[in-house]
Amino acid sequence: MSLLFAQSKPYQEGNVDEFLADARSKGRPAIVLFNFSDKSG
Amino acid sequence: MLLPSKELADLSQRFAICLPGKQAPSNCDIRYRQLYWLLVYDDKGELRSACRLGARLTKVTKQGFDVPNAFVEIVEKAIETPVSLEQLERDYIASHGSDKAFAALQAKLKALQGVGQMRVARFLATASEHAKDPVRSRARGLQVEADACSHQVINYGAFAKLREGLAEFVTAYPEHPASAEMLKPLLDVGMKYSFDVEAKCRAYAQQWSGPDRGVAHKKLATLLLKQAAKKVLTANEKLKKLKPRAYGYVRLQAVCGEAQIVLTTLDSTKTFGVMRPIHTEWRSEAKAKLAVGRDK
Repeated sequence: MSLLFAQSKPYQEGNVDEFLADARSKGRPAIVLFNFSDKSG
Repeated sequence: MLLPSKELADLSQRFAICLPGKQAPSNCDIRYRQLYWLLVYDDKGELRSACRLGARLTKVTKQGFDVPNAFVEIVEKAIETPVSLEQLERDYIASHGSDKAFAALQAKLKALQGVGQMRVARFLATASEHAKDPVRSRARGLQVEADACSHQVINYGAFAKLREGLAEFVTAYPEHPASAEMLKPLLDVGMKYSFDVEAKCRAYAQQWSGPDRGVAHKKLATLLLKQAAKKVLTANEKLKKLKPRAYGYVRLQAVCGEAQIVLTTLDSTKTFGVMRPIHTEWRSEAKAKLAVGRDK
């Protein structure tokens, strides 16, 4: 099941600015979910 | 959990979803970087909502949702937020920098938990050309920048840039009422991690009291020196209640310009990441102050 899920991830990874530009060009609302570090910084 | 979940897969039918790891969208400064953040953009790519996800999930799961459905609920509510940050920037320009439009921008930044403060600070400076009072718009930009600096991970460069911006403002617009308002963020935020605040203020005051300067500059110089003296007095009061190993002790000694104490304390302290450039500056300035004292 997890392998199947991994093959069809419902999200993208990587360059967030390219992602947002693509979503905007398609008129799709977008969600960005991130963290910088698990250490206090 | 959230990943993987059917709820997230369903949500992806309506929203493009990105997990960029450590990369924040450009033009979107974030403080409290140790936390997970959720940003929600509308179909025009404009920022509607931002929140620290952990805290929001805790709140929403208490309403009876499981984690995946709580996430969906958060996103649904976020996209219903009526106005984007970009729309409020456009409103500011359309209103020629009205007080009301600025208040709306400030309220939005608060709702966004500070996300985008530096971007709005830059916006207010550049939007000044459209404002009825361009100098006030620049002052607002500095005010937002100061608030961003005071709520972010300690950043040596950001504090230095803020000090420079505030001092340049006062130098350029001494007659404008906003200049007197800039002295407080200069002291409270810009010099929060400065060594010998009174000496630094004397340098500004000297610059604003030269023969080529007018009455307005001289008044501001006097006001700054008064505020600096009060700042150091308050720091000294706080120090009376602190032990040498207490949090804030060495910073307050630095603010008071206690060169020997700062050097001794730093010698027995390990300096971590963000404090390195600040401690380097304290060491250098403390040594210079002691050397001047010996030469006298």
